[in-house]
Amino acid sequence: MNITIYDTNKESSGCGCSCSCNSESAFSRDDLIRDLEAKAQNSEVKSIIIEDQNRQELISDLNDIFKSNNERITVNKSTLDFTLSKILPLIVVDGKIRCANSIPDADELLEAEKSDSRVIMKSSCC
Amino acid sequence: MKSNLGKIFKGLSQISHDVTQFLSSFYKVGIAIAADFEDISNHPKNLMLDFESAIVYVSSNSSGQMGVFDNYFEVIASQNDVVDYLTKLGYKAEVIDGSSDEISLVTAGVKTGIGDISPVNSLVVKGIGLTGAIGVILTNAPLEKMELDGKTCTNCMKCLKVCPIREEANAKGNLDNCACGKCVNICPV
Repeated sequence: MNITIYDTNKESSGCGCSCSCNSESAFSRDDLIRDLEAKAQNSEVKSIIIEDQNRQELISDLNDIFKSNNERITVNKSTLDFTLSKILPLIVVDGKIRCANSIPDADELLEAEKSDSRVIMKSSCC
Repeated sequence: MKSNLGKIFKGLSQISHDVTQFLSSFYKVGIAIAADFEDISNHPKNLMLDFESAIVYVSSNSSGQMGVFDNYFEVIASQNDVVDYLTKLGYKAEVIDGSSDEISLVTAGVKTGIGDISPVNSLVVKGIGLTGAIGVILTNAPLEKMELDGKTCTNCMKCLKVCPIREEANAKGNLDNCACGKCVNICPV
């Protein structure tokens, strides 16, 4: 499995989202990567920090992901920041969106992959 | 004058209509204008100096998760459509996050006439009660106000009776403890 985590270096609340929901469930990106390395040993986990990315490439990559997941959404220069604020952290497994707007625990993510679904968004998130 | 040079001419009535069409997948859409906010302290002009209109949209949330739209990516796509459209016409357009301290989404909903304020300070919308998730786009496009009658709340106070953080109607309460959803489930509207 190729697991890609798109995320930001900006501070987030406990659940990993970018609002101020103060959720108590706290899984960090590092927690997830560590657990995935232990539980899905044949996987390659890549973390992409969006601040380090060229914006045009990021727009192109995101639009490719949305298109291949049959999502109508597209981004451009004027909608990129808003869209990122809503979807990050975004987790893509073998090209399929499995989680958006939060960091799940590894079991949730692997279950979503197994059942070809998405991790359900947590209550109280933005 | 200079800022108008890039604007593609299109009637405001047509623009207002187009904007609401982009958001037609929502349960209700409303437009309020700058003058509607004159009586409140957190005026949208604090966020956008040349603010003219607020586009507010609400959808029922059958998942029961407070503040979360059901079809997450479609919701973002619709909002991007509006921002794109207005930007291409030469206007500013900014989606306001629900966590903004600068403007209350509920107040914006009331100002557009989409709904009414409940005793627990959330938006009551006819047909979906308190289950609505609200979104707001601010713009400097002088759109046409939509005349909607938001008077909806029956003041039955059922929401207040089950609220764990308020004893009086419209008290502020400790919002850190507000996520039980009891008011959402009991509202009869």
